[in-house]
Amino acid sequence: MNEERRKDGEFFDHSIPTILPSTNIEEKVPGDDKFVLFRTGLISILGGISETSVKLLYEKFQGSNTPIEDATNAYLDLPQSFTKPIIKSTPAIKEKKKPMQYEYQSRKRGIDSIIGNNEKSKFFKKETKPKTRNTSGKKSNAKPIGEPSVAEKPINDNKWKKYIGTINISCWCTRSVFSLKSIYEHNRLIFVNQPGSGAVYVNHKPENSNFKRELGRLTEEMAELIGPLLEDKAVVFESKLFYVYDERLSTGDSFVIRTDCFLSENIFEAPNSADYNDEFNADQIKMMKNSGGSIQAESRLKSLMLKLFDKLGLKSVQNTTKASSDDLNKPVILEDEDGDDSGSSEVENLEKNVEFDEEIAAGTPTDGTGGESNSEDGSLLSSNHIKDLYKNTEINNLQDSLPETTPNNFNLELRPYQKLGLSWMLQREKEYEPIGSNDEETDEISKDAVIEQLKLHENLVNPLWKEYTWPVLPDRLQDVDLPPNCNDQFYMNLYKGTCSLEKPIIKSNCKGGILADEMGLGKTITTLSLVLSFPKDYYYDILPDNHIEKIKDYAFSTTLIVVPMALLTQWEKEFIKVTKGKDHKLFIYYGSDSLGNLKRMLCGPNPPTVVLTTYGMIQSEWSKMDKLENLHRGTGLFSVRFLRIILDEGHNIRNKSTKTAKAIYSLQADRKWVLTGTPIINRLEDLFSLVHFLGLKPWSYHSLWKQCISVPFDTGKDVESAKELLKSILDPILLRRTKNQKDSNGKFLVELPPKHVRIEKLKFNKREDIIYKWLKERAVNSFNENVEAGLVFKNYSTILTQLLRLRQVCCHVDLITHTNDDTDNTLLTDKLDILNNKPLDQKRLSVKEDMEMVSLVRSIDKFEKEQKIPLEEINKLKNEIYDQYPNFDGVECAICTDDIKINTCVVTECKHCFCLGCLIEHFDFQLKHEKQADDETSEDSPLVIEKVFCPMCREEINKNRLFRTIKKNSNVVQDVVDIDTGSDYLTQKTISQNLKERDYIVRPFAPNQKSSKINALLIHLEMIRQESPGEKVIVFSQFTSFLDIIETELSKFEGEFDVLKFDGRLNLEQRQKILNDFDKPQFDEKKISVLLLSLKAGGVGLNLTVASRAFLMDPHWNNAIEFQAIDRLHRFGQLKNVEVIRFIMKDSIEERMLEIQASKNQLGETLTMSDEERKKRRLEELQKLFKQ
Amino acid sequence: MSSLPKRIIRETERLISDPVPGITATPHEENLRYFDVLLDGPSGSPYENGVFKLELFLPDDYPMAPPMVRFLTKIYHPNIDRLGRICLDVLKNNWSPALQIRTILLSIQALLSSPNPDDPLANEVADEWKNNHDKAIQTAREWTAQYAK
Repeated sequence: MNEERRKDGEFFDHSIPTILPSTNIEEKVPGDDKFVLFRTGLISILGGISETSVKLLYEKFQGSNTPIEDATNAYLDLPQSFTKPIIKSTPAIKEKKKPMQYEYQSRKRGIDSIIGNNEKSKFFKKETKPKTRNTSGKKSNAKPIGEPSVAEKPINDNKWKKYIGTINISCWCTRSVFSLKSIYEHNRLIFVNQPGSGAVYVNHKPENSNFKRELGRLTEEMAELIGPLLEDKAVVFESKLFYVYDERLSTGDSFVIRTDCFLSENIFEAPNSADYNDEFNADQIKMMKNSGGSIQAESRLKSLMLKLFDKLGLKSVQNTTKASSDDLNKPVILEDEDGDDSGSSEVENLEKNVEFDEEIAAGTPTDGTGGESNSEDGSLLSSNHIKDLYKNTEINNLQDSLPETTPNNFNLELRPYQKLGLSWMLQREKEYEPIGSNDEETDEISKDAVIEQLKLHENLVNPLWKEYTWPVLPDRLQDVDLPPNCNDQFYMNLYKGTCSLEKPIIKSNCKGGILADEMGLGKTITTLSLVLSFPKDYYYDILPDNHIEKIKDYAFSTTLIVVPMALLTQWEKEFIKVTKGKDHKLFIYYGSDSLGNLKRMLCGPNPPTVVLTTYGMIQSEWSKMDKLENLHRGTGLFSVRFLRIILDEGHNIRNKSTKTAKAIYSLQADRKWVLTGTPIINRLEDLFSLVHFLGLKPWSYHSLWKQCISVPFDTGKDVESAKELLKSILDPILLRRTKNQKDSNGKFLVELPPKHVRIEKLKFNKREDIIYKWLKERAVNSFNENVEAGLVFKNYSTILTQLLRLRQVCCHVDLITHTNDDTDNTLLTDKLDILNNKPLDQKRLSVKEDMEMVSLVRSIDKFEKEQKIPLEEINKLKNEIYDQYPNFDGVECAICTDDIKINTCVVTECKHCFCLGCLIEHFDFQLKHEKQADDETSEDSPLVIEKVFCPMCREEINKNRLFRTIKKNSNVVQDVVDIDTGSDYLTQKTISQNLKERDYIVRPFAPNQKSSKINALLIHLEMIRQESPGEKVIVFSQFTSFLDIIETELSKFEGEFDVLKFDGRLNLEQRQKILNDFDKPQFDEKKISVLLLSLKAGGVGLNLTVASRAFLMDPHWNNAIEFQAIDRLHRFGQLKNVEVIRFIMKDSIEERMLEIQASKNQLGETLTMSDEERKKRRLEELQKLFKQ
Repeated sequence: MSSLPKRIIRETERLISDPVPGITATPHEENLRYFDVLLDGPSGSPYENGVFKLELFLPDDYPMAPPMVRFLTKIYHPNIDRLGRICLDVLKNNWSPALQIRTILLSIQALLSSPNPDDPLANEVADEWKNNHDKAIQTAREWTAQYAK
C-alpha cells in the first residue's frame, strides 16, 4: 500500500470507516480530493471494497456526472471485474438507497466547492500561512473545505514548522450542529487539550475570530497521542472538518477531520553543540543519575513521536539507505549476505551438533566452542545471541573502503587482512598519513582521495539519532513557511524524541577501539604493526617546548601494552621478531619494587617504544596509589600519560567493579585499544567495561548504557532497537574477522595447508580375536534377548557396558581385564545415555561374566606360555645370541634389506634376526596361506600354534619363541621384566652382567602380547622417525588407561621417542608444563616427540600446530569430536600438511561405529527430536552395532 | 599399484651397480616391478653360449611371496615347459623372503647346469633326458643354437 501511495503521489488510502468511529485511519495528503471523495463515498456504501477496485472504478467513472452512483452499481453487478486490473465495460445499473442520497449529495456539493476553490486558491497563494503556536489555547488553521490552500495569519512569527504528514481522525460529536454550513465556510478546527482528563476536544474556531465552539472530542486512542504532543508543543496540528455522514451533526455522531501535522521548531535542537558532544548534556546525565538512571520524561516524547510517525507512515531511512550511502566511517555493514554465510553456518551446525551430543551426555560439561556455561543467571546471553551479535559486527567490506597498509621496517609480511586491519586501526587513531603506504594497488592520488574521504567521515553519526526524509508537501500546503536551510532529511533522537535538521554526529575524541579478530588471526602482529607504524606522537614532538599544548608527563613515544602474565614472554618474542631488535626498545615493567622511575625514563631522552606489563602489576600499583589519595600519582605507570595503551586479552577487565578494571581505567593515554577474541563473554555489561575504558562517549556513562542497552536486553523489551543501537555503537569501533570469512578474492582469510585423514583398518591378532569373538557372541546374544523381551532400554546400561567392553578390546585386552575406573564413568555416559533414569550400578558386567572372561584370557596366556621357550633354555640361547652378534653393525634384515635396528630387531630361535615388522608380516603371510591350503580341515580352533619356517634357514620358528633386543641404558629394563606377564626369568643379574659387555640386551618376546593398534602405531612412529626425525606426533584416545599403556610401551624406546601425556587428570600447571615441553623444538635429531592426548581433555582449545601428524587410536560416537581434535593441529599457524590416521579394527564394532557416524552426518541431528524418536534412533543404532 | 617398497629399489640398484656375471636384469621404465632378464647358459652345460631371455615380475606381496619368472626363449629342459614356466622349489614352496631377485636368477642358472628329470615339468623332455640322455643333450644344444642367440 505504501508503494502505491508513493507511486501515485496523490492517491492515498482513505479508508474511512463508516460506522465505527473509534477506528482511525491514517491518511496522507490527499492531493486529488476528487478521488478522495469518490473513494470515501464508495467505501461508505460498499464497506469492504478493495483499494484496487476503488481505483479501477474511479478510473472508469471519474468522468461521469454521478461517479459514485455509477460505480456502486457497476461494482454490485460484477464485483469480480473490478478486483483485477482488467476493466470490463459494465452497464451502469441504478440502484439507489435512501441513505446514499444524502451521502451522494453532500459529496457532490463538496466536489463542486473544491473545483470552485481550486481556482480561487491561486489568488491566495501569496498570503502568509498561519502558524500555530502551541500555547495552551490551541489554535489550528481551519480552512473551509473549499479553500484548501488558503492562507491564514501567522500566530507566531518566530517559529517555523515543517509538514510531516496528514492524518484522518474520527471524532465523536459532543455538541450537535444543525447546519454544517457555517463550519464548512470557515473550516478551521483546533484541538483543545484538557490536561488531566485525558480528553482532547475539537473546537471550531474560524479564522480571525476568537469565537470557539466545541464540536466533539477525539477518540481515546488519539487523545492519548495528541494530548501530550500538544502539551509539549512538539507538533502543530491543523485540522478541518472533512466528512460528515449527514447534513447535520448530532451528539454521538461520528465525523472525520483531516489533520495536517507539522513539527514545531520547539522540538528541534542543535545536536552538535559543544556541550552536547563532550558532556552528553551534563544536565541530562545529572537528571539520569537523580532519577536512578532513567530518562523517563524524554522517552515519553520519543514514543509519542514514533507513534505519530508510524501513523503518518513516516519511516526512518537509515536502514534502507545505509548500504548505498557512502558512509565510510561505517566500515562494518550490517547485512552479511556474502557467500561466507554458508561456511560459517556449517560450522555453527557442526558446533550445534557437538553441543547437542554433549547435552545428551548427561553430566558432561559442554565444551568451550559452543559457549561458556550459561547457567549462572538469567541475564546471560545465550551463545546464539552472542554469535548473532558477532555476526553483525563481523566485517566484510573493509577492503572496499580502505587500502591495505604495509608497515615499514616491519620484519614480517602481514597477511592481506592484517594489512586492512592496520589501516583500520590507523584510521581509528586518526593517523591517515600512513594508511595505504606500500600498497601497490593504491597510487598517491587515489590514496589521497581515500584519506580525504576518511577525514570527511571522521565523525560518527550518533547512533541515537534516526534519519527521516521530509514528506512531499501537498499542493494545498505549499505556502507553509519552511525552516531555514532545510535539507531533505531531518533526524530524530530515538531516546529523547527531539529532532534536528543537522546531521547529528559524535565528535568523538576517542581514539582506538576493539580489535576482536577471532583467535588465530594474528591480533598481536596486527597490533605491533600499528605500534611500529606510529610509534610516537610526531605532531607533539615538533611542538616547541613552551607550546600551550605541551602536556606535562606525556610519554608521547611510548605504548603501554598490558598482557596477562603468561603472555609476557610471547609478546616480547614477537616484538623482537618484528623489530629485528633494532631501533625500538622494549621495557618489561614487571617484577618487584626496584623498577626505577618510570616517569623519568619515559619522558626523558630515548624512551622505549613499548612498555610491557601485566594486569597484576597495574592492579597492585593502583592499590598502593589509591592509598595516596590519588593526588600524587607516583613515578610508575600512573604517573604519565601514554601515547597508547593496548590491553591484550581485554576481557580481563570485563567486570567493571573489579580492582583490575578500576586500575586500568585510571591509566591515561591518548589512544586506547582492546584486543580480545571474545569481547562478550556472556553479558553485555562485559562490553560496557571495554567501552568505558575506551572513553567512547556517551556510552561510557554507565547509566546511559544500562538504559539503552543492558535493560532492554535483560528485560527483553525493545530488544530489537537496542540491538540495532548496539550494532551502531560497535560498528565503528569494533573490528572482528573470523577464519570463515573470505577476502575479496573469495579466499578464506586463513588458508590452511591440506589435511589428510586416513582410516587404517587393522586386523586383530590371535589373542585379541579370540577374546573379541567371545565377548561379542555374548553381547549379541544378550542384546537379542533384550530386544525380544522389549527390555532394551531397561537394560540399557548393561548393553552400554558390553559395547564399551568391545570397544576396549579393540584397543587393548588389558583394558578389560584391569578395569580402570577413571575412564569408564565418562565413557559409559558418553553418549548413548539419554535414558539416565537408572543408576549405572551395572557398570561392570556380571561377576560371572567377568570371571569367565578372565579365565579365557588366562587360558590363552597359558596356551602361549606352554609354547614358550623353557626357562632353562633361555639363558643358553641368549648367550648364543650375544656371541653371534657382538653388535648389529652391518647386519641386514633379510626381508627388507634394511640395516637392523636394535629396538625393532627380533631374533629367532635359530638366531637369525629380522625387523619386527618384517617378521610379523612373514608370519601372517605364511599362516594365511597355510590356512588357505587346508581350509576344510581346521575348523578355526581359536588356539592355533603359530609357527612358520625361518626365512634364512627354514628352521621352524614359533611366534611365542622369539627374542627381542633392547638398547642398553634404557631405563625401562625393569618394565621389560614386568611386562612379560609375570615371567621373571630375566633376572636382574643377567641384565647387569650383559649390560657391561654389549650395547643391547635380549629378552623373550611374544608379539601377541601387545595390542594390534599399538603395534601399528609403533610401526608408523618408526616410519615417521626415519622420514622426518624431530617430528612431533599426537596420539589421541578416549581411554586414559589406554594412553597409560601406550605410554609404557613407547617409553621402552627411550632413544626414539619423547613421550608426554596430557589428560584430564592433570592440574592446570601440569598441563601448561606438558604443552610447553611439547612446544620446545626437538633437539635430538633422531627422536620424535609424541604427545598422548585424551580426546576429551585435549579436544578443545589447545593449539598444537607444532605437530602435523596425529593418530586417533579409537573412534568416537560422534566424529565431530574427532574432527575437533584434529583441528587442534589443523589451524592457523600450521604450515605443514596435516596427516591423520584413524585406527579402526577390522570386522569389529569400530567399523559399525563408522557406519553410524556416517549415517548421522547424512541425517544431521535434529534438535527437535522427541524422546520417543530418539529412543527409536538409538535402538536402530544398537541393532546396527550388534548385527552379526 | 602400491608404492615401491624400499627393498625393491635397493635390489634394483644393486643389480645395476654390482651385476652378477652372466645375468642382467633391467626393470621396465613404466613398471619397476617388471624386469627383462638375460641369462647366459652356464658353461659345460648344453646351454653354453646361449643367451636366454626371461621375464620376471615382483607381485604386490613380494618379498613375502616369490617373484614370478618365466623363460621367453624356447629351451629344451626337463624342468621348463613349453610356455617357459619353471619348476623350481624356491619359486614355489621353498620361497623365503630372505631370497632375492639375484639369488633366484642364480638358482635358475644352476638349474640349467643340473636339470632334475625326476621332478619334471615337461614330461617328454624328462623321459628323453632319462632314457636317451645323449640325444636329449644334443637337442638341447641344437635348440640353444637355434633360439638362444
